[in-house]
Order: sequence, then C-alpha cells, then structure tokens
Amino acid sequence: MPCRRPVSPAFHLVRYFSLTTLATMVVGAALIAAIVTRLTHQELVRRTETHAVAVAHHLIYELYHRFLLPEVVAGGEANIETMASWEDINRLAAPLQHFQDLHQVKIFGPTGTIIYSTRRDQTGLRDPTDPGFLAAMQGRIVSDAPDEERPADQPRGEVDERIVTTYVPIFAISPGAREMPDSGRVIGVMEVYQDVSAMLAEYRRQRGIILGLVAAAMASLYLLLLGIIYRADRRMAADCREIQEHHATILEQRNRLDTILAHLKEGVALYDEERRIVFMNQPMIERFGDQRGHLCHEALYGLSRPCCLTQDERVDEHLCQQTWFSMMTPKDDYFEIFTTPIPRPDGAKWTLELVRDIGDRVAMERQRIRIRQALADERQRTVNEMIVGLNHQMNNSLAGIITTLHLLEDPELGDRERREARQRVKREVEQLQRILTSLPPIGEMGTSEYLAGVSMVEPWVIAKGVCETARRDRPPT
Amino acid sequence: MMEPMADTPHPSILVIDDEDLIRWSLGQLLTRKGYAVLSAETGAAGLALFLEHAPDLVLLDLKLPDIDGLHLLPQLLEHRRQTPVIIMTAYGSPTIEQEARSLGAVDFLRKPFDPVALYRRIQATLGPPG
Repeated sequence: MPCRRPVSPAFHLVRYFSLTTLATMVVGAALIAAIVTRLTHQELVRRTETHAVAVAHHLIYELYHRFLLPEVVAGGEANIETMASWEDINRLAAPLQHFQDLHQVKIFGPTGTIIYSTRRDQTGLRDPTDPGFLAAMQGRIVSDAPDEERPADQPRGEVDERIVTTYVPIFAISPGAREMPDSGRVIGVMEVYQDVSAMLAEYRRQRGIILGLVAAAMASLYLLLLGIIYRADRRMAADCREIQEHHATILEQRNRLDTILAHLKEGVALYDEERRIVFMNQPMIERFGDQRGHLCHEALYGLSRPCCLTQDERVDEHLCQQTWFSMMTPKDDYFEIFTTPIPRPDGAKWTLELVRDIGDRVAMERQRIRIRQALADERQRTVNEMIVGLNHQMNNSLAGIITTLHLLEDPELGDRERREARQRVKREVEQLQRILTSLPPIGEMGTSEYLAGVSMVEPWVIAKGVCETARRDRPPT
Repeated sequence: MMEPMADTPHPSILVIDDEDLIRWSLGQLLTRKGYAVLSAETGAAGLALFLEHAPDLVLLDLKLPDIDGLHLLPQLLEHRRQTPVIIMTAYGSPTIEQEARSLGAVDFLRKPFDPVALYRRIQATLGPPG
C-alpha cells in the first residue's frame, strides 16, 4: 500500500530566528533609546525649569519690594516698564546671575519690550511675537529646550553649550498682597537663560550607560536565545533524521509486509473506520476483484450491512468484538474470517481481516456427514442382514423340525426311523439353542471399522458360520 | 450330495436344500406318501440329479451354498421346461416370490411350512401318487 509522508521544504530555524530577532532587537534598542532620550529631555527641562522659576520668583520678589511696592504703597500703580533703571535692576540681577549660574536674564514689559537684559545692548528691543513671551503673558510657565544634537552651525570641537530658556509670568500686585503677587494680571515676563551643557553631558553619559547596558543585555539575551534555538535546531534535525530513519524502516517493513501479504494464500484486506477497503492482497483481488474504496461487507460478501449490525442498525457488541467467525454469504459462499484491530497514529482504528475461503472444507464436511450417514445405514443393513440370516437359519431348522415331528405322528413309522427322527429333532433343537446362546451382541454388530483392502463378509455367511460352529460343537450322537 | 431315494415308476420329487433335516424329513414323509424322492445339498448336485433322473417335481431352496435358487431355477427349466418347481425359502418377501414365479416356479412356500400343506400342493401339482 503506497503511503507517502508529505514532504515540506526545510525550515531554516536558526537563520530566520537570528534575522528576525536581530531586527526586533535593533528596533527595540532604537525605541528604547528614543524613549530614554525623551525621558532625559523631559527631566532636563523639568529640573531646569524648576530652577529657573525659583530664581525668577526670587528676582521678581526683590524687584517688587525694591521698586514696585513703594509706588503701590504711595497710591500709585506698579509700572514695570518705568520701575527702575537698568543699573538698579542689574544690581539685583547680576549677583543672582552669577551665583545661580544663569546664562542670561531678560525682563519684558507687557508690550514685549525688553526693559532689562543682562546683555545691555538688548535693552529696549521689542519682540511681541515670541511664542514663549505670548504664552507667559497668558500666565503659563513655558520652557524652550534646546535640541540635543549639536547645531549644524556649531563647529566641531567648540564648547558644546546648550541653553534652556524659561519664560515666567510677572503678576500684578493685588491689594493687600503680602507675599508673591498673584493677582492674575500679568504685567510682564521674565526670561531666564540657563546653560545646561554640563547637565546635558551628564544625562548623555548616563543615557549612554543605560543604553549600553540595555544593548549588552539584549545582545546577551539574543546570544542566549540564539544558542537555545541553535541547540533546538540541532535537536530537531537529529529528531528529523531519526524520524526519517524510522520512516525508512517502517517503509521497508511495510514493503516486506506487502510482499508477505501478496504471497499469502489467504486473502488479506485492510478496512478503515468506515469499513471501506483500503488494501487487498493479490489472492484477495483474484478472488473478489479490486474492491478498494468500496464497503467491505457489500463488495466482498454481498451484505447490506456489516456483520456486527443487527436488523435495526444497532451495533451488536458481541459480534463486533469477535476476532474469528465464519459466515455464509447470500451466494452460498463460505468464509472463515479473522480480524485484528490496527490502531493508527492519528487515533483511527482500522481492521486487518484475514479471509479464508472454506467452501471446499464445507463441502468435505457435508461429504463426511453423508458418508457417516451411509456408514450408519450400512451398519444397520449389516444388522438387518444378520437378523435375516438368523431368521433364515431358524426357519430352516424349524421347517425340518416341524416336518420331522409330523413324521413322528405317523403311527406306521418304524421304531428305527422313529428313533432316528427323535435324535435328529433333538440335535436340531440343541443346535438352535446354541445358535441363540452364541449370538454376537446385535448392538455391536457393524460398528467395528474395517481397514482398507479388507472386504466385507456377507452377514448371512456369518450367521451360517455360527450355525456350523454350533453344529460342530454338538455332542456325538 | 446326491441321495437317490428310489428308482421306481412312482412320481419322483427332487429336493434341493442344504438343510440336512429338511432333506431327511421330506424324504421320509414323501416316500411314505408314495413318491420317489431324490435329494441334493447343493445346486450343482441338484442340477446333476435333475439332468440324470428327470424328476416330476422339484422342491428348490433359494439359499444354497454354491448358487442362488433363483439362478438355478432357469437352468433347470432350460432343460425340462415342463417340470414344475416349488420354491421353499426362509426369505419370504413378496418381491422374491414374484421374481420366482416370473422365472417359472409353480408355487412358493415360506419356511417353516406345514408338511400337510406342502403335500397338498404337491398333490395338486402332480396328482396322487400311483
């Protein structure tokens, strides 16, 4: 039976795994780097902004107390644009710039005019469209972080300075305010520049360490997984070779089995679970024709249903579990059937059936029954003939006795004849007695078996022999 | 065994039977009735006596040691067809009787027979002895 295992192209597990995992890890590393970079940037801005706000509030506090509060107390209105000269403001801002390591400080008026800058040349300039300024004028604190990468116009080798600009709104003093002004009305904006180059360098270093560790961990993980996959691939290859060897062995054994089955005199068929024939050996095909694919009970035996199904289509477990049974088909064929369940790897259960045509044996058994009956008849005939022979002999004797007795009734019979007649009758009666007492057992007659070549003895002669024996044994007269 | 009982002008009867007592008793009985009696134990001896003495009647047993009476009967009648033959047998089946009669037997007696009845049949066949 041809049975081919489906062959699929080889799957290069290590190659596919190494490529896909490498690509995944590169993408993952890039993603992690981007996330770390973003987090670093956010942390940088947060810390810088916090510092800038603190510094700005401190400076604003000083400016209020020095220049604005006296005007407010005097009943005037706090005007930040006219509150003090550059030098007065600078006396407060310069130390702060120096000690807080600020790059630059600007103070904007509500119209966008720079009323103070640590760079004096910028004082008086006006830029009301600056987004940071506009946002701060709405009461928000915003920071403008620099790009992490080196600016294109910055030559390599030059000091890598990075500036974070923070815009802090300056609120008007509300009546009765004693601490920081928070009236809600913005009267100006303070812009604080901070050099974050050192901090950025530190963050870069830490980020580099983190990314290095992540890369090392991923590389280690990659190598570990690659090793596992490589080992698994080798194991699978070995298993595959073993399976192929076993498959070859099974194929060889199957071929041997096919050869054996083909040379069996008995028919062999294999059925699937639906009782369809999937294999027939050569004697089976010669006997029934090629019936593969057909239902076995229909194709082979001419039955409308399997043997183990009853008339009402119920399964007769007793019949189904029988591994040997004989059957007569509607065509008066006789088969002896041996069945063996064949479990399949997929869980299905096939059936191997050995079919022997016992038609000749049945005919011989019938012949044997006929011969046995004929032998019984012959034995009965022997007994009958024996009885007939005895009857003949007894009737013969009786005929002689009766005739002699009739003779004795003749009164003219002489003494010598009368004496002889009596003696003859006496001898005949004694002979009859011996015959009757020496009869063989009638029930055993004809039951002994004769060897080939020994002819039967006529029963009448046996009876005659008994009589002659009795006659010889009679006492002398 | 050939046992010529007499050689007289009386009607002669040949008894062919293998049973000694029958031969003896019939010989004594029929002799006393006036018949000349010949007797033979076997078919061959009986045929010889029949050819030699040409008896007027034959009493023939069917079961003889050397030949069946039904086989001997045609041989006897082949030589003297007018000689009446009475069959005596212990096998009294109608089939055998019918066969014997078809072969030419004039009567058929089953053993054991009544001697008086036998005598009457002989008388009916041969007539009273002279």
